[in-house]
Formats: sequence, structure tokens, C-alpha cells
Amino acid sequence: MASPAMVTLISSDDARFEVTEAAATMSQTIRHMIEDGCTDGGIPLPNVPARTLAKVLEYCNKHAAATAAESSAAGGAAAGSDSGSSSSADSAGKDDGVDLASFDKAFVEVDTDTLYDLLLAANYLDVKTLLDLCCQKVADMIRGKTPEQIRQTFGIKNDFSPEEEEKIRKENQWAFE
Amino acid sequence: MTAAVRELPDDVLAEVLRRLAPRGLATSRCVCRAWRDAIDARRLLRADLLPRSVGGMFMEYCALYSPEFFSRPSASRPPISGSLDFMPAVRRVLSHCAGLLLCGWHGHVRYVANPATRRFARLPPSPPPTFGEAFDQAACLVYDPTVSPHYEWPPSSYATQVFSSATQRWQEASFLRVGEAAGVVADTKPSPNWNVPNHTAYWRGALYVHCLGDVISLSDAKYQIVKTPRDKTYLRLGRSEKGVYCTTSEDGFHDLPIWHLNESYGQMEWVLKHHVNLRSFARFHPYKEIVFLDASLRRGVAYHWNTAKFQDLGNIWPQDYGEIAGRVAELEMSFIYTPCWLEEFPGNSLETHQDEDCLGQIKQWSNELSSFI
Repeated sequence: MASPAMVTLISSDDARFEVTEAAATMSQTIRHMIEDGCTDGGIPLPNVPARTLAKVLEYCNKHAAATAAESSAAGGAAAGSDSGSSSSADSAGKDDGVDLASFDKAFVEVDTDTLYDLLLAANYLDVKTLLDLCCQKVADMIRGKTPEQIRQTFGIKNDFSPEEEEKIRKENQWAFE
Repeated sequence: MTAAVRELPDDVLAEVLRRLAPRGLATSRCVCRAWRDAIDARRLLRADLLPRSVGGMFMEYCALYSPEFFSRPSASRPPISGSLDFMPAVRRVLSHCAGLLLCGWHGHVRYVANPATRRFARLPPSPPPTFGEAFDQAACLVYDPTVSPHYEWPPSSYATQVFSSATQRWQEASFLRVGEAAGVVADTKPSPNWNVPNHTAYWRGALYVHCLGDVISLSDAKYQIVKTPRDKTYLRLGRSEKGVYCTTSEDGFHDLPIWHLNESYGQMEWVLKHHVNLRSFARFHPYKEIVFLDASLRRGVAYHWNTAKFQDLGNIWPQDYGEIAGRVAELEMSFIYTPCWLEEFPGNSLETHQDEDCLGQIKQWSNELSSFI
């Protein structure tokens, strides 16, 4: 069996990442670049630093492998192409749904800074499921907190004037009952 | 950590915020200007659709087949069907919470309905009651759209079957008692089941049920017995401005004490707030210290107990009711209704409907519900 097509991604700090096309094209942004034939010498991603890109690719590899395992299982054929290429592919064959869900859950158990980085990268790279995952995680962190707790969690400065704050508090009084 | 100086782009922030329920959105509006503007620019928070105001009163009359809705006609909203004509023939309201109604007959098919949006869903049949029929009398619906679009229907016993529209499943929920025991079950009186909608109140995540003579508060897998203020047979529960209230009435007494449930300092006790010099059924305004009374068979009255002012609401009898009902004319049950206009309605795979014909004939009486509503 032929080895899968590979592409090279270049982070903002010039680190190079070799990944399968299947994983890379989970990003719509990269898919369009490949379709436009801009892959010679690697695909530059000037908005994504290496640290974040590595994390995003961990996500894409896992999900692309799971998708491949699923389609090959559905087709009744044994998929051998992934064996040995990454550890994540080994576990992808069985109980994909459960496995992926727990992977996703663990994946966003990171500090707020990393989560923001992922959110921005997922948005720029246009990886829909990762963007959903990160948005949901941030929303879960907001839920049940007071405005002050939210500011502390996300390091946000309260830029309301006292009058504004009083007004807005009044408008939303029902939420604080 | 450098998070302090970082901001999310507007569209990403909006993606995050649109996943929040109304309560989370209202809190988020208070965080900073950028968050407020992101919410306001996209109208993510529609507080106007929430059941935050009184739309009128549902009433069930002796000898009438379906309920009636008593309201001041609104120019900005479609009329609300009191007769629930958008549903199959289900003509009894068993419980209500935040604009949703639980309808049906005891032991029969039950529906959850939103009269404002004319949507309804049939609940799957419930498992048999754990402690027999007597414990299954008070069916109650729990719904808080500011927190979640999902509703639950727990009957009132202590290990009970709860249906959640989030899981679409019946599950056993058990509640551990906190505080004093209720006494021997055989000693206590079952609550009169002809007035179920006024036997429950939902306040800050806890459900209060008038059951077996006392009031039970259920929350977080715990329950607590609250002794009734006096040993009275007739007790009406309700939520109002500052929490849970009740009225009690005794045969032979022509007044109506109003009690507030004081839950400060971890204690729960009834505190007498007021006496109304009137024998009547009372329904509490959910957000203001007002009770609605039926002063005579035909007149509805709102009573502001802080200022001791009465306000006439007008004739509460449907047209021609006197002729139809004759000597059995009686208001059997009524409750205050706060319409919920949110389109989101979790149905189930069995049946969910929306009646597109919002222009169905709805009886509007020539009454004036005044500006306090």
C-alpha cells in the first residue's frame, strides 16, 4: 500500500511539521492552500506559533486517524497504512465515539492561555470541530460564575464606568436573583 | 500569564457567548464593554422572550370542557390560547412552571405545552409510582429557561422517577432527607389534589411541593420538610418577589394569612407577612408582592399587600358561563401564567408539534388587567 500523501506546515517561528494530508486538510484554510497549489516548500502559517500548531496537529492527527479507521471498518477492509506512524492511530479502531469524546475532553483541559491560543488557531485555520470544542470549553468555564469571577478567570479588565456598571447591573438584575 | 492583555476577536467571542443560556449571557454582559457589545450587536440575549412578566391567568371552570385565559389583549404578541386548542384533547393543567404547562389526566398520557409558541410534546409513559398511587398525586414540572432549555417532571415522592428532556429518559432520582422527619405517613393528610398547580413553587433551583400536609423542598438530591405554619387543611404555595410564599385558610375564618418562607441562616421557617380580610383563593404574582384573589364568584381582584391596596380586575367569568353552568358555576382552579416566547422547545421523538395557525379563535374577554402586570 502506498504511503499517505504528506504536507509540510511551517509555524510563525519557522518550525516545520510533516503531517498527512488527511490531517492537514481538517483545516479548511490549509485545504484551500493545497487546492490552490501553494504547497511547494511547505505551507507557511504566519499566525500560528509552533507550540500551538503542535497541539492543533495532535488534535487533527487523532481525528483524521479515527475517521480513516471508521471508513475502512465500514468498507470491511483492513487499514494498514497508519500502523506505526503514530500511537494515536492504534487506539482509533474500536469504540471511536467514546474514545474521541474522552480525547476531546482531556485535550481542552489546559490553562486559559493555551485555550485562547487554540481558539485563535482553530479560528484562523478553520478547523470547525476544534473551534466548537474550544468555544464550548470556554462557555463551560463562564457558566455559573459571577462577572468578577469571569474577569479573574480570563484576566479581563473591568472597563465600565460606575454609572455604566450600575445601569447594566440593573438591566440584568434578574440574573443575579 | 499574559491573558490579562489578550482579547478574543469579536466573531470568536460571539461564537463562545452564543453557547450560553440567558442567565450566562446576562452575567457576561456585566463583564466588560467588549463582551456587552458582542452580545448586544448580535442580540444574543433576548430577555424579552423569557417568562419574566405576567401575561394573564389560566382558569378552569366547573362544567367547562377546557381552560380559559384571562388577560389584557396585547398588540405586540399573538394571542394566547386558553383552551389549548393547538393540542390533542387534553384539558387539564396539572402543573406549570415558567411558561410551560404539564397537561393531562392522572394516570393517562401527559403533555408538556408552551401556549405562547403553540408547541407541545407528549411525554413517554412514566414507570409505575414507587410507593403507590397516593404518592403520585402531585405531578410537577420544573423548567428554568434562563439556565437550560430543558424541563423535568418529577412527581413528589422521595425516590421518584424524573423525566428530563435533556436525556429523553426516565431516571430514578432519590432525595436524602435533611433535618426533621415528617412523621408517620399514615398520620398525615394527603393534599387536596384538585388544585395541583398551586401546590408547587420553584425558586432558585429548589422545588417546593405541598405534599402530605407539609411542604417539602427538593434540591440537589436532598429534601427537607418544612412544617406548615399552622395545622391547616388548605394551603396555597407560590413564588413571589422575595422567594416562596403561602397562604393558609381555616374553615370558619374569614381571613387569609400570607406567609413568607424565611430561608436565611440555613433555617426554613414561615414568617407571617400579612392578613387579608377576605376569604378567597390566592395566586401569587411571581415577581411582585401581589396576590390575585377572586373576591366573589365573578370579580377578580389584585391585592398589593405592602400597601394594602385592592385593584379591581373586572369580570372573570367567561361569556355565557352563568347560563352554561347554572348552579354548578364555580372557578375550580387558576394560576398565574408568565409566557415564554423562546422558540427552542425540547420535544421528544414521540411527538412534537407546532401549530402554525396562530390565528385560531381565542376568546378575549373585555377585561382590563392594569398596568402592574
